[in-house]
Amino acid sequence: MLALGLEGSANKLGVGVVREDGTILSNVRHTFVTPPGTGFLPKETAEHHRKYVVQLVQQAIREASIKPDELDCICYTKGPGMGGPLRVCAVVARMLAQMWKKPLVGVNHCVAHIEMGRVVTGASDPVVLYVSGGNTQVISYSQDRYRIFGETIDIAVGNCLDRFARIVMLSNDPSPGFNIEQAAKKGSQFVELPYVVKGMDVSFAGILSNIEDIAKEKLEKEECTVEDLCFSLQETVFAMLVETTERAMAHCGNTEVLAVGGVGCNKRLHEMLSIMAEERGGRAFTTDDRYCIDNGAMIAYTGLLMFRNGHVTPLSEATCTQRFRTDEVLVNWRGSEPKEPAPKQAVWAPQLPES
Amino acid sequence: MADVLGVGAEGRTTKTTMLGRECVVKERVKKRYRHPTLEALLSKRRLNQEVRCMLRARKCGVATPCIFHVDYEEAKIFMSFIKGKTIKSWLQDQPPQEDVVKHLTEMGRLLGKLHDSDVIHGDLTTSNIILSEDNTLWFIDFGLSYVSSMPEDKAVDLYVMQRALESTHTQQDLTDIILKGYKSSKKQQATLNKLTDVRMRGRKKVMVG
Repeated sequence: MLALGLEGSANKLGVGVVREDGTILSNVRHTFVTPPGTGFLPKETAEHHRKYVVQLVQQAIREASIKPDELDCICYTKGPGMGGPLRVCAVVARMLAQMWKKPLVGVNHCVAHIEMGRVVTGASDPVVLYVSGGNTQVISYSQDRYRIFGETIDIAVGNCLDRFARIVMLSNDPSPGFNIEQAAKKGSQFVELPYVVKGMDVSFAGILSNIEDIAKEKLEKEECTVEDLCFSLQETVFAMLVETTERAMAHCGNTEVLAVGGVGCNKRLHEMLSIMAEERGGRAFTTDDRYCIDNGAMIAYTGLLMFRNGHVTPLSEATCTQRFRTDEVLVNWRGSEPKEPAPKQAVWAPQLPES
Repeated sequence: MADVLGVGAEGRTTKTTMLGRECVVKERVKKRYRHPTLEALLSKRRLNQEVRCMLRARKCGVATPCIFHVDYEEAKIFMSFIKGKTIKSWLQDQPPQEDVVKHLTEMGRLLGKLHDSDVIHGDLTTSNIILSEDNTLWFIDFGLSYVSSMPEDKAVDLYVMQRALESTHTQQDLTDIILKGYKSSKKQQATLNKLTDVRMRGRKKVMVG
């Protein structure tokens, strides 16, 4: 079985074609990069997506060497994410589904990250640390749901890093997080920042405003360098994340951890998770930037998993939403091996909307 | 000769004897993943807070192990051994409902006392409360505790407890029973109002407005 997936919940636009075993036939992406000191806004990001989406779909189909006829379903990100960019993909997904007469599957972005991470690494039942520009959650699977153990109570960790990059005018190309990681390697002095763990939850907003003040003061007086601040910020926020992840692992009696999401490809975070997991007698799994960073293949793969287990999104419900929690999705494909082929009621005949 | 009692995310506890008495040694495990400066800072701060909060709890009438000795260099706390069962294992044995109500209401009352003297436990799970043979409830593991008078911190403390109860136990309404006991706290109104706010937290929930 084959699926095409469309992802565009933030500044990355991705289209991928995958087989049900997780083989990726194509996974193309185009990122909206803004000048240093600025971030991506919903309106401009949606314009970027509109400009590139058709050529990316064509490229994905071409690289996969398939015909649209061979596809079993069209999958797209239903949410969470930015409204404007999400809508672009939803419109394109609806159009493709009607043009090619294929069923639609709306996918939760966070669940897609988890499923992609699992299939790429082979980790069967890990505690998941999902860290990106829009999300920060510690997740474990139990009784048909991905349950959120701990999360950020304000901004996401990636957002904290991105906004710090803007303050010190680091480049957004290829991503602010990547440039912070490179700068951090040259940092040596550890500057103390707030360490905010609230129960199982974490908070980053206060750290961001604190480091903003420090940056203004100390950089001017040359008491520390931008590299030192990048280093200290990474050390502090990652230690908070690893601490809550470790507590979740201790609570669930689990020794495996999987990091997904854009921040998940940070090598230092991976190193810290590995040390923690090894001390607990387990191991840490991570994927590289092809799968960690938002992409179309993860939506296609998860959509196909859902499709094979009876999930189909009728055209009239093929909307998108900015708010869509990880624990809202019924995960009915993990208990046993996926049933195949898709049950009868799942087959959906595309209809043109009433005008 | 030391028996390992438990290994948590923060440290390990072993049982030994000290001057002829049964003694528990709690050792804070060094986290190698943390930057050494940050690790030293957190370790010192948390060890201090742990000892301070245990003493504060005792002063306000909440039973905690008696501290014999603190080794700051090695980050070890030596304290008295409490013989009994954790509330977690006690609840798993399906005790009669009237006993559940009796002990959990008492737990809530003690929690109220703790919060009234501004001690935030930080890790309120049923594994961290021991029911001893004389039916006394002992609060243990103050490793993440601190002192704060803010309703916010107290509410988060209760919320952590609620989530721990929901994920560990099948019995319903445990939180409600505890909160009934908690109402004896002097400042319960402010904390419980804040708890409603804290429960609403969590990003990307479907909501109106």
